[in-house]
Amino acid sequence: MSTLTRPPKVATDSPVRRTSPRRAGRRGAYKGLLFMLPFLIGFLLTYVVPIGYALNQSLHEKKSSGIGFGPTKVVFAGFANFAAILADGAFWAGMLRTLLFGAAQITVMLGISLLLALLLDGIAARAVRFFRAGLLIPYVIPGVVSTLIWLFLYSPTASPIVDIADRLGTSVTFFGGINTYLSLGNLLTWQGIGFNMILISASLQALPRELYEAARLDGAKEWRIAWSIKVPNITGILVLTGMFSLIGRLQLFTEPLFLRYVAPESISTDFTPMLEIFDRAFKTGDYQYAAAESLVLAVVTGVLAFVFYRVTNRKMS
Amino acid sequence: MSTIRTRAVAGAAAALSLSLVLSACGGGDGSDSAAKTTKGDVKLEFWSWTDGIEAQVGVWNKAHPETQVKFVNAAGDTVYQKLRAAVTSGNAPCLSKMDGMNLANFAADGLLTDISEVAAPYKSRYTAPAWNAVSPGGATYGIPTGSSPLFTAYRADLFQKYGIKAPKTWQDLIDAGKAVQKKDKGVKIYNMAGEDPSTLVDLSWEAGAQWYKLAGDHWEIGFTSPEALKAGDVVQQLVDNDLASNASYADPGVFKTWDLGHTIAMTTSTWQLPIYDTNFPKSKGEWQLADSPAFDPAKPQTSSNFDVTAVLKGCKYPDRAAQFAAWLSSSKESLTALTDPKSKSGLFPAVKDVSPYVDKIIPAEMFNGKSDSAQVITTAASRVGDQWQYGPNYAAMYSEMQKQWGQVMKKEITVKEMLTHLQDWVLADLKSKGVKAVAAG
Repeated sequence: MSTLTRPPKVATDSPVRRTSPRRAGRRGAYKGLLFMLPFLIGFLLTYVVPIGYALNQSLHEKKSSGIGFGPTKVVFAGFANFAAILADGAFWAGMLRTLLFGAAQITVMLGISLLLALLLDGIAARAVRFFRAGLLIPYVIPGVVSTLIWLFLYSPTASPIVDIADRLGTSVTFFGGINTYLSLGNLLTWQGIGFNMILISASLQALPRELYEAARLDGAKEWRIAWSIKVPNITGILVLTGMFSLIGRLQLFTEPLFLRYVAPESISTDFTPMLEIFDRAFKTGDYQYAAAESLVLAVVTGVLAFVFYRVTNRKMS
Repeated sequence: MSTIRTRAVAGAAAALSLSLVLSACGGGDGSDSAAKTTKGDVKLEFWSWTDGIEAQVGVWNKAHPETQVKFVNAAGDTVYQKLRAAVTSGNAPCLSKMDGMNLANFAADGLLTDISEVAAPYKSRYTAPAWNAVSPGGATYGIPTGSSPLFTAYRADLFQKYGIKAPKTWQDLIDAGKAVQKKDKGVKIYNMAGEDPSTLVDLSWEAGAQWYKLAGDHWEIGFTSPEALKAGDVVQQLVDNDLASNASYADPGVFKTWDLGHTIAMTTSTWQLPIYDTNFPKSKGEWQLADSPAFDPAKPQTSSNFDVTAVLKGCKYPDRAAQFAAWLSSSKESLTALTDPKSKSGLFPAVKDVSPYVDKIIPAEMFNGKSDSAQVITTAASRVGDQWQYGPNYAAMYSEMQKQWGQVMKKEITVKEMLTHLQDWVLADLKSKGVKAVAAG
């Protein structure tokens, strides 16, 4: 892979090109910019401007006066919001909770996805198509819908599982303590297995078959081929899916928001950083603090994704 | 994997924040009191999501060519966000439905029009607590629409089975709950939802507490006053003795809690009456109404949420807006239509005399007829405590309380600890916003 991304040195070093490097370069840059313009405009409008606005908001705060009713002023507050967030125990507790939970859940999810992808890789092509489509269904279902499906199964009052358990004389609870995390983790894993399996499976398909043949000639059994040939050759995709999942977990929102409907004691409004930001911005109406929280979350996510990528990449090479 | 979907949400959020960029340039002044009288023909926009209102708007428009009201059905979870965005971008409707808490929140953020002067002529039509709900901090920002005074509903058959009577006081309710527990551990006297601290709000209101009290130019904050602690103690006893179930009101199967007889009493109100016949298929006919338990039987008080019509910032004709809103919620013509079950509005008037509208709202099958349901409802409407006030950070306080309420239900903290925390939190929050407030006491 690295040889492909390296710039073709031969061409730039050729004497023909050397004759007017500045003009050619400038014209090239100009044309390149023209090609990039549609992207740049989109990028500016949908990324830079909103982030700039959020940054601007995060440096302000709303002030009232007197008894607090009537016009408010939004005044410059410097880093006051950020200072408050640094000292906001509940916000960081939510962050830590989400991270620890994510680490455990992603490990399990990717483990199962890898296992399924390896199994699929070992069976006939027609069966592969069938299982692939089948396992992808949970991913195709919109997140809100699949959360609602599980919400009904988890509901203390409406769940058929709870009902059956009651009839058998035992009791089942899906929330409280570790159960909350198991229930949420089950939902997220169910949603995520298929998609990650497809990615892993695709990169398995791309491996040259000669490798297996060579291994077989050397007397390796299937599980040995899987462990010693297949897995080491697809660490790239594992890191990538791991990183995407990690970012996804830090932005965890829809699932706990809905599960709160049936388990409000266990899933508080500051259960994850995104829930807290949502509550702050739209229930309380404190956009400024919520903007600052969003930026902190973005920075934490960015740093973690970077660290994760570096650490896992180093391990690979 | 949910990354891509969360990206979509993030994209929507980005688009939203972008629209805010384009719209957040206004703001600032706009405290002009609306005293002038409008002449000529005007058009007003009105957002609501109550069934049956649109038909009434039609009736009004026929009779009042000079004030044409454009009804917009604003049903949806994000209506308050949309309203905020509309006000900041300068194209807000003149009028919108709200609840008391959001009216206070919008008023505190300067998003409403002070209509004290043009609304004054209508004040005498409504009850004092209803008028309080549209006048946080003393200035009026809207017109009351409906009320929902609290009373009790209980399973008459099961109360008889367990040998208990309809509780007159909260202590009675706790004692009855304990008596039931002795006979059957699985049966609870009451329900408290983990997301919904409104139980504590109602109890505090009934106990005569004042979490927020306006005292001249500042607020007195009283989360730990003797009355507030008395209310908190009732919740604590219900929690400590496992007397209450914890079904969430957002749970799709919540009604089963009562319908199957797991929980045998509840505080309820007028807006819930229309749904009972459908949602209690097993137990309808076994229920009976009673006055809400009181703290002091000599001076019984109950509580009520209020539905209001707020006048938003930028409304050019506040006098006409107030005139329409008052007609909608106090004229005999409009109230008769809205309280008819056929309208599906679930609305119960906030006017002083509710007696003409009570009979129709009582569901046909739910109650066994032994109790005088109409009398209970009328009594509740007349007993709503008029001391309750919404402070400028009530919504933020409620959000903070919601976080801790779940912990109270899980017995991780006590109600007293929560109230002590809220007392400090509210004082600190008001101070940081530049609002004058002191601890009551």
